[in-house]
Amino acid sequence: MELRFRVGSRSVEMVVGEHDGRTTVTIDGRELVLDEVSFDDRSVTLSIDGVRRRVLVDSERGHVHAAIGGHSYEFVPGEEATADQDSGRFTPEISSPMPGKVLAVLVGPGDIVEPDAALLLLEAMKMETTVRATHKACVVEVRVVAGVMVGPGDVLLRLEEALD
Amino acid sequence: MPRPIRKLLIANRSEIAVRIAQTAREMGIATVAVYADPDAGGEHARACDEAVALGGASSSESYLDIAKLLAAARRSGADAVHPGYGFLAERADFAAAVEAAGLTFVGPTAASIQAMGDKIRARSAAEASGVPVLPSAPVTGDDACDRSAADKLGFPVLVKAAAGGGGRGMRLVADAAALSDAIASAQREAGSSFGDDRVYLEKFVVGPRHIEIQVFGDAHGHAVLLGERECSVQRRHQKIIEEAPSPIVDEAMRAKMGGAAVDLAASIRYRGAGTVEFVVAPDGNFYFLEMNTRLQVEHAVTEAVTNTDLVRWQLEVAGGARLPQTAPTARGHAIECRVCAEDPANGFLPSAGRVRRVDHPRGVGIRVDSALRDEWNVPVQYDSMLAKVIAWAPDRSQATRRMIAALESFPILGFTTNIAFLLELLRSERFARAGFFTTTLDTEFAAWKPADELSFDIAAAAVAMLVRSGRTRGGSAHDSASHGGAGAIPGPWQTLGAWRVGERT
Repeated sequence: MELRFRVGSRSVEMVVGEHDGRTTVTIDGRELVLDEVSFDDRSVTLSIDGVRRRVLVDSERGHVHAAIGGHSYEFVPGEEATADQDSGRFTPEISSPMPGKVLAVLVGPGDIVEPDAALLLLEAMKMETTVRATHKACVVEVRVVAGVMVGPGDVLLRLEEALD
Repeated sequence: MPRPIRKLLIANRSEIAVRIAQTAREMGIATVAVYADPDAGGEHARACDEAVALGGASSSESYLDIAKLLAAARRSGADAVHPGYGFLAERADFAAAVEAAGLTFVGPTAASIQAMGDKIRARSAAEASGVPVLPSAPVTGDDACDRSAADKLGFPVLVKAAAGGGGRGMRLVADAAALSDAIASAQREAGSSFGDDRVYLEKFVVGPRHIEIQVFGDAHGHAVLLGERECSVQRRHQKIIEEAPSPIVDEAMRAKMGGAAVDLAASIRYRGAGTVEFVVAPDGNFYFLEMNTRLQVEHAVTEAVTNTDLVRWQLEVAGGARLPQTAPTARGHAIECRVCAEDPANGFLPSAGRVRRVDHPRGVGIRVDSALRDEWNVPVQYDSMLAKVIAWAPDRSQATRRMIAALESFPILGFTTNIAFLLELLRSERFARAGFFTTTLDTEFAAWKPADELSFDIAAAAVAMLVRSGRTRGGSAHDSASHGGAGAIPGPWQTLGAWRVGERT
């Protein structure tokens, strides 16, 4: 069985197989041999090399959340990772990096922004964050106003790439 | 006249409100919680006997609204108010208003709060009682004058807010060219944070450690010393790991620092829990930083090594009781980690949201102060600290291992926390040799990324097993996944990958 997920900005491919009567999971080429697998209503427990590890899990609309050792991951099925800043590609929608409040919108429709220009100020948990442009672009649409609450991933504004 | 407290209003939220309520309950004191709208149904409201809605979402409309808090106290018949830490804990006008309403304020007098709240006045009081302070100079507003004052101190210098706290209104200035801009921006920030834009210059210690002394005074003029805490592991002036005792303080230094702290407390006839903070230079010299006139977030490490309950002491002292004549002796070593809703791999951006599931660590020597539970929506309006884990053991290395094991079994499902980052710090050779300065995290760990592939692989394997077993909810993970992407249900989370476009690394 083959599985494909996007986790944050990375893609992951898994192959579930059998070896000597034990289940194996190969994650992007790295193989884990599972001596034992058990479930309860909130977790999956795996035994690997004699060490038992419990992973908290939950799922909703096909997305699977898993947490272990201080990490919490969201596995989104069957997707290629979307472009992010690491890829250096232009992306037309600027989404909120975090849940919080829009403190100020610094640009308006029609504005041409330079790379690194401040677009919006967000605030959450007493911390201020500036959302900046990565490419020279034209602001097409502003979807939020100062004072509104936004969730992570909410689209804040739309841009169109402007060439020099 | 002090009288024993019968009903306590806790003017705070989250883990500290829960923690105060637990001690009050143990003492037979009835408890009243207050909560803002985003905290309705929150753990701290459930932990108290009664809960009063304050309305409003922002701090200023709720936990900082003195009139609303006093009305809640009146309505519920509380005879005392505990401010916790943060919010109004160090506001002299709040302490005065509580007392004026005929209620007991669990904390020092308004006069003490005022004396120590103004950093310039506090420095003078410290100096007057013989506590060493760093060379400083007033900011005059005249560029040439300020520059020559800074030259005299010697760069680097710190610009600090008179009303400061939490690193706000503070700027480190490396050379003369950056001075006037730093002063202007510190003044702006101080003005907006504290409503008081006065700033001053202070000599900056290179290689600074933060070590603080816990003192406790009663209303009868007696003060008790409860040892030091080492709090040098800080990110942007916010402590994230604290321990007691400090691994670099020996008996002679402990006696000197403790003596200075107790002298300062006695000089202002300090009542209640207080902390005298020092910056310690690499040569072992220490200088007064400030005095916090409240319970500290990290009070639990002191409780662990001295086997005390400082909230019980606070409530008893507020009720007029005398403190023990001899200070408790410390034993063993305690470490506290602050678990925060921040994504350390992503510039420590806030990461709050719904806690889908949480398991709290347990075990010998482990204490967890937390207000988390399954399905709790962590509000974005307040502080990012979610919980504190405190590990006690007979010695430091065992306490470290205990803390590592505890944090490894503290899965919080739903959003990223700083736990992986804390684990890496605890496992580092630098932590083992107690080699952190207060500046280390900001200079050496700013671009930190998690290197924990094994955790990822185990999580991925668990997801694979869950999908294979058909136990996923909401259907299609199996189908869409095994068909390589077609038919995945579109959701708001799918746009998540795009946000980074706007964020500068």
